[in-house]
Amino acid sequence: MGIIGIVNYGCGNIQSVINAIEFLGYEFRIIENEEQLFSCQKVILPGVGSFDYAIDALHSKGLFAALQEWSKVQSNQLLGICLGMQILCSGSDESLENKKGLSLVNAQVLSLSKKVQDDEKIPHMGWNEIMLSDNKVFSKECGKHDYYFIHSYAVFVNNEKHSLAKTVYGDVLFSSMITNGENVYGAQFHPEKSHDNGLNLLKDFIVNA
Amino acid sequence: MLKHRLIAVIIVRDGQVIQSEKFKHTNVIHYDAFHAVEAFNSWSVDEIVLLNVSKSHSSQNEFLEIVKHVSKTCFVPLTAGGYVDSVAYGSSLIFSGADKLVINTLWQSDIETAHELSKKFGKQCIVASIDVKMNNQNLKEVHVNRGSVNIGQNAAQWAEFCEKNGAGEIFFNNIDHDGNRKGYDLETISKISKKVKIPLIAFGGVFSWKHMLEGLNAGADAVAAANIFHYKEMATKQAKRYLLKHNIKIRN
Repeated sequence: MGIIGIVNYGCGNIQSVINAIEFLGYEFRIIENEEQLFSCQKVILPGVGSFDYAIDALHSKGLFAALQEWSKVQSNQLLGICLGMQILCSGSDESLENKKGLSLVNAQVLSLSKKVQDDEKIPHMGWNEIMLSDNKVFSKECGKHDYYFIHSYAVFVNNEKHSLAKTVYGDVLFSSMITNGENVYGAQFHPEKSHDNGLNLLKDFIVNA
Repeated sequence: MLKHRLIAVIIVRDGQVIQSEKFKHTNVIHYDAFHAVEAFNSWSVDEIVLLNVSKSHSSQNEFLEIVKHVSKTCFVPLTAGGYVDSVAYGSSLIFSGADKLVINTLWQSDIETAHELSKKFGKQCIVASIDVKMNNQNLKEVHVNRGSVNIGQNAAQWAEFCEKNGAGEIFFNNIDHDGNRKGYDLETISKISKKVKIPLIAFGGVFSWKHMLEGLNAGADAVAAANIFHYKEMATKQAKRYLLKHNIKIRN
């Protein structure tokens, strides 16, 4: 299984992810630079906060280019969570300076408030369902449960084959899980805060990816 | 489809879990907050709110330790607050494992700091706690500082003010209903929910599952309770069963 890397680039609370990995009984290593990144084959990219702040933080630690390089190695497996999933995409409505994302998945991050009806609340906060497509990493069982979401921007893929799971909020259908079809995955919800089912989903990534 | 949330509130005073009645602390329920969180986590509650209501500001560090300890096994969102009076302390709570911060007095005493916390961690991380109490002219007004200071504001307008200044969610309580077993202050819940676009959590006064149903029907997005969950075995499961039976969308 190896050691699970958890990227710490100063974007919110990584403690919850650490707690979950410890609870599942796996070893982890905090990644704060390129060298540490290349010492792990399975890496979780968490993130809470704003898109621009996250992109700048990755650049300043030299992790932006490093993540792009590291991901080219097929045996390396990446899971982005929440904002960590959004920065896998090409760009975001949230960016005030039109910053580029990691562009590991061909998708855009759009503002939910522009998409939903006026009476729907923003952020999309709480437990919601996912419609999971057949895949080799996350079991069918994962698709039968609710997960904890908290976000104001959502991911829309340019090619449906990159959408791993869909979720409905109001009358908007967005991608709640994405993949590059090979070794990069993302979850919009927080598996580390989604009770037993979230822990099982993390375990699927660790064991099967 | 997005589900409504069932939230367990744990009131902590000097490290112990206590029962609150009109913001007076009647008795100790647990000597250790850790066991309360563990129970709620395994009963599949949707979120846990941990409030430090100690009398003294010096309880900050002890509370931080509690958050650190309970977050280790808390795999649902954990919201923490009480004495959040600086960016530094708010950040310490987050880095100790809290997912969201409850802010109450700060909206009145130091709006800059509230702003800054919201900018640093994002709006979704900031929960504005609003407590109202009836004054002697029969008007409900917002009180801060654990209910001790009347700031003469109307709850719905105050909620809107907090929303504009960086709150991502409202946590509402009526001190006269708190621990009083007569259900939520539905009138104010309905007014707040019409005024703001952010999610609203109803708290204070639940003595039956029907009270929760009423809170949701009045416009709350999530329902919270404290005392009742401590005194019934598997209480959160019972509550969910009741709500599901009444066609409320809630996580099973």
